[in-house]
Amino acid sequence: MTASCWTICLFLLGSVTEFIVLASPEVNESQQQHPQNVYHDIGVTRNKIVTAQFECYQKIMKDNSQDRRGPVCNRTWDGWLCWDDTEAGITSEQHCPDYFQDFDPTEMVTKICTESGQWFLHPESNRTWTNFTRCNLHTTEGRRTAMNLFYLALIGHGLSLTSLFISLGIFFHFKSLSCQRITLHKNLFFSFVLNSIITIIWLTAVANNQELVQQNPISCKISQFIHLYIFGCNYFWMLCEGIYLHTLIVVAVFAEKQHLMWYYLLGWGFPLIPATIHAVARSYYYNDNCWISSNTSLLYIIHGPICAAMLVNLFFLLNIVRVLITKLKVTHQAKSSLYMKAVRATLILVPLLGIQYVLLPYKPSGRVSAEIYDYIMHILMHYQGLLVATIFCFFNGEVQAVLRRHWNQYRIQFGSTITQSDALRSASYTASSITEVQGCYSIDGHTEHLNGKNYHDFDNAIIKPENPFA
Amino acid sequence: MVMLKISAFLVAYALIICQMYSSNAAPARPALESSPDRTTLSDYEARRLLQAIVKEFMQMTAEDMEQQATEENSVTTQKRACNTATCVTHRLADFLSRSGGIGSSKFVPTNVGSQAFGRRRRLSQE
Repeated sequence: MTASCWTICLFLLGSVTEFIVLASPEVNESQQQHPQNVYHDIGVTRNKIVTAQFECYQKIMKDNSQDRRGPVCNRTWDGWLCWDDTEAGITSEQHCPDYFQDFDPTEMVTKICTESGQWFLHPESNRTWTNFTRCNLHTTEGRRTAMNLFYLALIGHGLSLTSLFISLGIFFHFKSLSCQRITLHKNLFFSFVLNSIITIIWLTAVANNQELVQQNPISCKISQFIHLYIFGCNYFWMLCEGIYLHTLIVVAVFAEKQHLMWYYLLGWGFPLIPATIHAVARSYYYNDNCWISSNTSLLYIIHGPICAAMLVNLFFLLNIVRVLITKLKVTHQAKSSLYMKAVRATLILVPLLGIQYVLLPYKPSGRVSAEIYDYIMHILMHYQGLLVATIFCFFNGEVQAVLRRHWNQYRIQFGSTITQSDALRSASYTASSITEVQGCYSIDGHTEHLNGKNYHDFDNAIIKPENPFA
Repeated sequence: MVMLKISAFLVAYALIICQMYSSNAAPARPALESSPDRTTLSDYEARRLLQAIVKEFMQMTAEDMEQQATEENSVTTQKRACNTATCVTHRLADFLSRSGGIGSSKFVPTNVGSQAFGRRRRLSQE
């Protein structure tokens, strides 16, 4: 019941978000008449350059009392940057200006002062020339990488949405699958759905829409707030899964039914706190257009708690695997089989608990390694929903059993002669080691209604041998 | 800051003027034999004061420029980007926004070649 209310509220929230963002195309159409140029905004760029030039001339007019020893290149304004007096034979360096979209402010500009005390002349044009080539040397390939990552994200979230919708449909349609663990899965999957939807909207309608960012309407800041809130919900539902699993396996295997209200508070309620704090801090300290810039430490208000949650999940995973190995040792199984099961359990739980974010926590500083890292993390992030849905729904033994039962009933009803495939049976073996530990049909934890379900299942088992089409 | 320096300079200038005026008053007492010595000392003191004020003014300017350079350097080199694994989407959105968006066929790289001449080249091209 509570889950239904949350579902309705969040669907409405998603609708509002979509409505707000979709309103922008009207504005976009009117802007299309103006051709786009290489400046962020032509007025802004000119203003920056003129201001820098004025400051440079002021600087040039100051303190001429400096004693000159030997040949010196005079201080100068080269059209974009200001250069101080430089001794002959020295190469002066500065950071690239941020006037243009394709200039990377972290790169360096160089200006050579020759031995004769003259600034470097370009041999082709025979004019004084400053070397700005490093400013946009990597931006072309940077744009290509960004394009690849953009489409990777859209495809990943598209596939995730498809698989998650199917999974949620299965979970809601078959009541026999209802239990606490599946309820947690539903909430996690739903947070994945919302995160995918808002991410697709954010990347396509805001980040890819420069006119909208320039206008900086309040709606795009609201969409960023919603994006960060849903982002937090997604990760804190992973934490809820970790807490539930850890409690079930490590703390007390036969614990009485846990209160789901605390999970709802942690999964849907708590992420509002960092999202709100970030919105307030952003308004006061770094109120850029659409709050789209990632060059601010304020983002750690969102990502700090998320990383902390993932660290807690890492601890949970290690503890769960430790307990699993301990229990399997009691049964005196062969060591190779023992460790294979532990490895399978680990690989299954990594995407569910979001462990990949703490195994590769920071972006490396090298250019090539940073690009490789970006590709890996984008795949792990945007395809996580697909992976989780596949492992915990399609490969779930209980889900397969329910689907198989309904398929058999369908065949009985229509006399189909299709042979039942064994492919899924072997595939489900991977997930069964986790499924076995948390069966839905334990008698202790279920109501009389669910017991009736079990009885119904028992009846089917009796009838089955007499089926002439089996 | 500049206004403060100008004010300080004007104050110093006023002091010098007063001193000179006082020095000019000295010849009114020819009877005293020690008057030439006092005039000489006054001139010496005035020049010394002027040098001190000018020196301090230049020092203030130099310190101010040095501070500006330090601030400018820290601003340009400081990287406050979010670098955790969970930030990849935000970094991608930021880059897309700064680069004008995906599929923007109107994007033209800035000319940094031999003919580039900054603002004047831009204006003449337009």
